[in-house]
Amino acid sequence: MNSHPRLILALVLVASLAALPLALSQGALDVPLWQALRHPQSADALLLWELRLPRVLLGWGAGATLALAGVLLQALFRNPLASPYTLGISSGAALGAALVLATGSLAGLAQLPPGGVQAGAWAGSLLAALLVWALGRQADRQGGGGLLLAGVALNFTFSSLLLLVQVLADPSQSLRILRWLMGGLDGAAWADLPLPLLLLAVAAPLCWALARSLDLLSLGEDSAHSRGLRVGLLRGIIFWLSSTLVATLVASTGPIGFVGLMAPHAARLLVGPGHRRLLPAAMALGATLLVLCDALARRVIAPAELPVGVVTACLGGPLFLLMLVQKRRA
Amino acid sequence: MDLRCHQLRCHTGSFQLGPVDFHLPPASCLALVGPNGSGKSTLLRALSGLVPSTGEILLDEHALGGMGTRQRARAMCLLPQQEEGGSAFRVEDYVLLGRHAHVGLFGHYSSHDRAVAVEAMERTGCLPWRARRLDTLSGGERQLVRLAAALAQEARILLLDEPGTFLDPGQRRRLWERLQAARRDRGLGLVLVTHDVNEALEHGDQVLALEQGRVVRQGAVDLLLEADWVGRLFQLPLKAASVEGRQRPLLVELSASREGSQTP
Repeated sequence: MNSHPRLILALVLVASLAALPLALSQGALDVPLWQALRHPQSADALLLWELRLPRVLLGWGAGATLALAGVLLQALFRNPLASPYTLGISSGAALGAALVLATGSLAGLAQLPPGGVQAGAWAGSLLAALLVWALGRQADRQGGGGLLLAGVALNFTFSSLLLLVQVLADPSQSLRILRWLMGGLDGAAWADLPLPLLLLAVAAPLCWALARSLDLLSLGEDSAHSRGLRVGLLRGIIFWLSSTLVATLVASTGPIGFVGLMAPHAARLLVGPGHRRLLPAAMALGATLLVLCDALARRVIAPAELPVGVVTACLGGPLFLLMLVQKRRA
Repeated sequence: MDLRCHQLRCHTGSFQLGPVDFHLPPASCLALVGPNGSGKSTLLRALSGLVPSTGEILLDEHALGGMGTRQRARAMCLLPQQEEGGSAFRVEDYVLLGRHAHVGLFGHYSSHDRAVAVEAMERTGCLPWRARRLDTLSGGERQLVRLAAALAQEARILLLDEPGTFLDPGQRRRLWERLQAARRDRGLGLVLVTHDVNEALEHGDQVLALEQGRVVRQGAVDLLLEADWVGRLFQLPLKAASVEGRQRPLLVELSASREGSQTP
């Protein structure tokens, strides 16, 4: 932990805001922001307002949401390897989306109804969350760790079923499914923003209000209970809140990897384990990371684009290892 | 605070505990002894509400079952043998977490909360380390910090699960000095789970011995000086031996002589 956590937190928050104009101007076509603002009828302005801004804002919100869900689940399981995708909610979403894509093709639909994939992802997440909760509670009655075990087991099950769907689907649909699984922010429009951002705007202050309770939970359930925490209630809140956040986000962006694992880690190294600072720092880092990775994804093979999930995973893996090595040295 | 337990029973898996009856007056210490798996820790967990139980647990004549989690935490605090997490917290932040049962919904610490935490750190000798992380402290220092958090919680009864297990004799002595001071000054009642019969003899007022979930003996702590039944309980030949300068005799093991162990 740094000796000036408040200063570091302030810097991280400023960086997450500073990443916005940087990401807005970068892409296959560079947009001079000042020019675009001065000439609202120009092509640059159109590109900025209609394509780039909703995409960057969705990326910012998605990064913050993934980091928030990562912090919550790491606190719930007291396991630094927990990520927003540990509980199988995203695998359920992926299976739902893949089923919609595959069955749409089987039914001979030239084009899927708008929002069809998102609805499939949502239904898959909901089913996954209900199953994990029910099975986890059942297993918890016979001993601890039921939720985590149920989540990991269902994650594998959904991933296997997803592979089955991919094998059975025709090659073009299989490729679409694979593309969806990489996660991405391309095609983001203003209409995609309200739900994830509204949810984030509700969830973030609520979690911040629960920061001390999350601190207590990280001590272990016996100690937390003994200090007056309603552990069962908090676990339920964390599970359903993080599931809702992940389901909503994955439905609109697909599963973008590594942000939800790495941002909480990096934040913990910078500002310490207390959730009052950890939550905003992780969210700001997640937002910064995703927005910048997306800018990179637009530029690397321009005019084509890389899926942002590929960039976050390619950068995230080595960065994560570097952090772990440095932590060990420290 | 007065703790009474009446016909307490508890089922966890195939293990059955009870019935257990006892009365712990304020500022006294009840030692729970027995071999591994006898139900000592289960009894402690039942008292703290971590495992469901039947029967009555009364705190100053109020049923524990009718209390909310926070109200219970203001009365009773469990000091576990080891904690699963929290090692990255600074000592002061960790001790302040002991105030959870007293703070409002959003966990804001008042100046009173901070003053109570500082006083708890002072009493336990942790104040010089207040800015250090828990994982930079020794096992003994960490146990003192946990005690500080328990004192900051202002609970009136402390449930101690083998508090000296990972401590060297000096650290154990220092921990007990602080505990005894809290008993004396604050009327803190202690329920102590221990494997060490001499620790029970030295610090306990009453003893309750468990074997396979049943109470086999209970009463004043001097019962432990009857070496026969204690020896049977732990399957060890024991004898009470007086040591100069000690208030009470010690129980010593008879069979562990070096010559004896070399005999084929």
